[in-house]
Amino acid sequence: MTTPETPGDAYGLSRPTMADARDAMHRVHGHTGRSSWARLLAAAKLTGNETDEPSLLRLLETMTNLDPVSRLCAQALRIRLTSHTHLAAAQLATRSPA
Amino acid sequence: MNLATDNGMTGAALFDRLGEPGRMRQLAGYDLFHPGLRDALDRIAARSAQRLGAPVSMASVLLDSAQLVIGRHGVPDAGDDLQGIPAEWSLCAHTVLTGRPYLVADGDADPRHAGNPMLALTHLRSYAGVPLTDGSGHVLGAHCVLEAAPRHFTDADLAVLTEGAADIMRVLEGYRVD
Repeated sequence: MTTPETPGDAYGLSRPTMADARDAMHRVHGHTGRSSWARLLAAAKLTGNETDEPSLLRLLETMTNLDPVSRLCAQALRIRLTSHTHLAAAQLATRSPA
Repeated sequence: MNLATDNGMTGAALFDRLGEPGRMRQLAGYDLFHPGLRDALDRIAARSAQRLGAPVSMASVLLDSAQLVIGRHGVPDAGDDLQGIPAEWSLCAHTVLTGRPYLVADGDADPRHAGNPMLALTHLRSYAGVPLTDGSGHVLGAHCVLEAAPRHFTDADLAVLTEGAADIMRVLEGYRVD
């Protein structure tokens, strides 16, 4: 398993974005993915074009309360988010001079 | 998202398979976050670990892009902050995708997993997992043990895990919400 490291990655893991959330909602809801995504954005009062972390966190919070499948989707993105945070800290620690 | 996995497929292809809508609906039919469920599954994980002489055991479900640990033994409890790992690093994802027991005798020497950050960071090297399959045939997750040393798991070891997996599914059925 080799993963090209790009800026912002931690051990090859990229931090989840709004686009990742959109892709995930489309994936898990199948043919209702587009309408589910639109419903989520409306409930969160977001456009889907935001790039800041608070907007992503607001989206995940709204996703958690949208329906049971979306809740699991939000949980998966949270795991990826917290994994990235932990791994980025670990990577920084190993690269810091003693 | 990360596009390299040790499943031999791109991240997007892995997530599409795990996130199949019918499978996700089945998973959503359980109250996976109920504290009572976690306590019961922790006990089953502890029993499997004890019977197999392994330091770590887990009961997990595979969401579309991450492994969610719902029962654990020997894993540091990171509380609500960290409840799983990305799917592309999940050995249990292999168990779920094949629907069969999955074994890794020595992750360091296995080209499929030699670069897996989860193994490198936890210093765990061997793995045995069996699928958690519901009554409709969906493979929801896996029951596994992990070791810090290389280990060749036997059929008897897999029988213990399979028994644990059956107990886990019985407990899960008590937490259906639909």
